[in-house]
Amino acid sequence: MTQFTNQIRDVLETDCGHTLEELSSRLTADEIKALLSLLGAHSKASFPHRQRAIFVLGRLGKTEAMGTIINAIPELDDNGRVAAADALGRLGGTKARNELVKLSSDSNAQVRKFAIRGLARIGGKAVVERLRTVAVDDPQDWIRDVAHKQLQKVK
Amino acid sequence: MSANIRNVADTCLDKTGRLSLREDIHGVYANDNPQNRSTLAQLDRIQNMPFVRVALVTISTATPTLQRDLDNGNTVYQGDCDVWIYPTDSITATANNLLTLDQDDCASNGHSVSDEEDELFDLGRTLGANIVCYYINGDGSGLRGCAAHPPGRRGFWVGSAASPWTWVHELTHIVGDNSHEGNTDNLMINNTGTITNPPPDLGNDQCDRITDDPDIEQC
Repeated sequence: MTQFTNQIRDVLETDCGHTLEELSSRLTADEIKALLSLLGAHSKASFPHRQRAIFVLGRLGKTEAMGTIINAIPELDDNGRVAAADALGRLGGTKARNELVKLSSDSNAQVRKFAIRGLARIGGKAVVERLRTVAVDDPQDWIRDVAHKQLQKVK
Repeated sequence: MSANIRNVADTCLDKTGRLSLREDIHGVYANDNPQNRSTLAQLDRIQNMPFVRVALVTISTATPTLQRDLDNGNTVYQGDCDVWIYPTDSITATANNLLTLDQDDCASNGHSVSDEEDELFDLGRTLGANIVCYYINGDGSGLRGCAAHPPGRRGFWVGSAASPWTWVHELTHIVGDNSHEGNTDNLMINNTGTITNPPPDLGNDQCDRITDDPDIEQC
């Protein structure tokens, strides 16, 4: 079982965002590795810990976490996939974009919203095409509105 | 009695016209925390104790435990700081896109405002309070609450997984600009789910900052 430093424990378990960025910015390289280990194939980490780990890795711009985050997606709950969409949109690149395209048709509407916003952060021709499709085809009208608004930003 | 209530509501709370004893005087906006409430004691409080006004906005389909939050807030503020919390109004707004909020950060310093945060914190600005609480489902990180807000629009959001003390914890980041504390008996511990010996405490310094806040007023 992963032994957490106090620093990691604070990052994973703070329930108020007031100091989350500050705590996250102080994580050492070893502590970042420990966060990544929470997302591994045999991890016993709770859903909330996985969600927080993904969120923090994305916000810290840890591109080395991209593959681990993508591989973890099938094992995540709805909130974890929201965090994954958020992280991938901030990490950017082709792999992230391709995964976000998949997440933009997720069964959960909030995951789709974060995927759409992540795609808009990445931008590019393929993103514009996908956002155009979502803006017309998504079953929820408010998601179509989000896609439409994000499309205006990317164009 | 009713003339006195109207006079107090008008003079102290800026409430005129058709009054609801339950909402406008007692500040009760939900049925989740039933208890006996003394009108005389509340009138005395309104006239003699400093207070802070807070408006409540629930994004439709969020499931707050609203009255528990208000009552717990008042338990802590009245018990430790001799200040009470007055909920001026409570509304529900439909905005599915804001239920799980995409926020740039929740930092106390150097905060960046996302377009969704900007949209959320526009709501409820005509409800009679400078501070607005938003009930949503949460954010991408799994936080239970966040008090970062756009400049000039004081407020905080509380998520669906909130503890009984999240609401007043976030309010206390706003009122008095109070920071986190390491003591699990204190309201400002960074995980309110780990609070010991409830109700949580506020110390003298924290109360001083609350009473010095520009949104604290007295009749």
